[in-house]
Amino acid sequence: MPEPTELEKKERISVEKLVFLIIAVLVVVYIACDCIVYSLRQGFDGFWERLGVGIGAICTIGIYSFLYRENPIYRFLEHILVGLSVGYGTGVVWTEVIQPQWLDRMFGAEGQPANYLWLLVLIPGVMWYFQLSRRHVWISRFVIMFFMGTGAGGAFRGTFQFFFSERGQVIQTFKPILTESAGSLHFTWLNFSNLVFVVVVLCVLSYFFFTFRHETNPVLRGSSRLGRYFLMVCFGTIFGTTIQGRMSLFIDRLVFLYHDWLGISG
Amino acid sequence: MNGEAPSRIAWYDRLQKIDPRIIYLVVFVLVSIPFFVPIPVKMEVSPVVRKLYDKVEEIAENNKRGPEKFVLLAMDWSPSVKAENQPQTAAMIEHLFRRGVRFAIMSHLLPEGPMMAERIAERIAKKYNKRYGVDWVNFGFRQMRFADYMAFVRDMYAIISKDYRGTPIRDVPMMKNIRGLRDFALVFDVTGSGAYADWVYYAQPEAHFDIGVGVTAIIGPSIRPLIDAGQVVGMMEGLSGAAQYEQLLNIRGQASRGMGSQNLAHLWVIIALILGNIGYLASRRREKKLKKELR
Repeated sequence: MPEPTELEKKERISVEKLVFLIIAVLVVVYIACDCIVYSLRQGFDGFWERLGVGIGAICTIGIYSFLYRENPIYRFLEHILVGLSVGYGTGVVWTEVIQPQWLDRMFGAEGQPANYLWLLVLIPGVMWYFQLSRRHVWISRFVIMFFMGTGAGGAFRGTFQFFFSERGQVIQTFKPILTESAGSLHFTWLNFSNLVFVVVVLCVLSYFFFTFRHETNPVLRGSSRLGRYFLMVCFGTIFGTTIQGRMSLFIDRLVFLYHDWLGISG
Repeated sequence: MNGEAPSRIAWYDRLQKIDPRIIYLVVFVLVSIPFFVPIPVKMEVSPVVRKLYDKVEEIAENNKRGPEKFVLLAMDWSPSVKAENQPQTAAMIEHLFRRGVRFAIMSHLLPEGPMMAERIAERIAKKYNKRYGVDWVNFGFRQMRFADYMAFVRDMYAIISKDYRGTPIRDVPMMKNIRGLRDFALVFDVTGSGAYADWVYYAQPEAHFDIGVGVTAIIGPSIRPLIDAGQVVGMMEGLSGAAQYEQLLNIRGQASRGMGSQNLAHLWVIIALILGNIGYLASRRREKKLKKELR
């Protein structure tokens, strides 16, 4: 396709600016009218509620404007989102963890006695920050060692259960290929399903088996190639579900715009 | 203008170079249609959704005969995955209220989850005339590590002292018969992450309860092996999972209403994929032909 000339580019930008201006004016006028109507019906509560919904709508449209092209409005809203997330996260850590789990226990809250032994928790907490000093980084290693040790110890039991318990992933990989009933062996639909399962598991495992060269071993070459195809099917499925998820998010935003903001769908 | 005729672009090249904005515009139009013209969608209920539904039914039936068991709703989701996790939460709460199975809400990962679930539960509770503290309770957010799960199994009062509304949980009427996680028959984890794994790894081996999950569609494939092994009893996967559960409950909720849009969007994705591949194959064929001619 031929590249647009400078004049064409300028013309396009001016058209884009005009369209943006029209949309912005329409949105702002609609939000203002909406807020006035609701404030007349429900007083100030209605006004603030509709203003919140209106700002939400502006943010939604602004963020989706990225699909047309990267633009300052999108970037501004993106920064707001990142800033809000960090601010919110900090607030949550304070109100949900530091205050109730540490400060209230240390100084005593709501009739509970103070326990200043909680002050000792500050020591390992501060030790983490020595990571920022090249000279004193060794101090932080003690606390990292402690956390890694307790983490590994705690996780080991769960991991072992996850893989090797009665319902564990490894144990459940052993599936019957033949079913015995009335003294004879049968091959049912379930057995066929189990056979497919076992073949897929072995093929995929062989793809990651690097002890022998795949090129020189015909069995390994064939099974690893099959394993690669099975993996591709698996990744394709995951990618398909990713699209499904993204569409769900978009549908939810449209529900917000059409139903909550514009009130034009049932 | 230099007087040369503009070079024509072959149709197969055009198919591979469709402006993404046109694709987005078509998605927008297609997804919008069902908002104004409802499209009826008939769904097959998948076995994993059916299993979850049957588990709740089983708990309700067992509660009539034996000691009462409860359900724990682990609300490990935030507004970013609301589109999928909210209808799943609503469908499960609707089922529990309808069958009279009492439940507790909590999150060990995100503080927003219990807050949003509280709103949903309050809305549905009005429909079934259920009361907070008697038929359901909200423990709120409590960050937990592996040792906490083990304590939670035996004595949850050591982990949670107050409910979401600030009432000491010993004073909540429903808690009279609850000591720890062993009093729960099912933990239903709604999440857009791998939060469900903590229950499988640390709590399930101790308390032997069943685990059900409501997950975003992206997480769904990673749960399938756990369902096959029996570590997870059933699942609602994405918006379609919630819609199937709504179908079992015979209600038309948020998920069922969204399925028309979802279907049209998927149809467009398939068409776009086919068009792109036709263009690719045709251009490859053309290249081969040109190479042959040059030889």
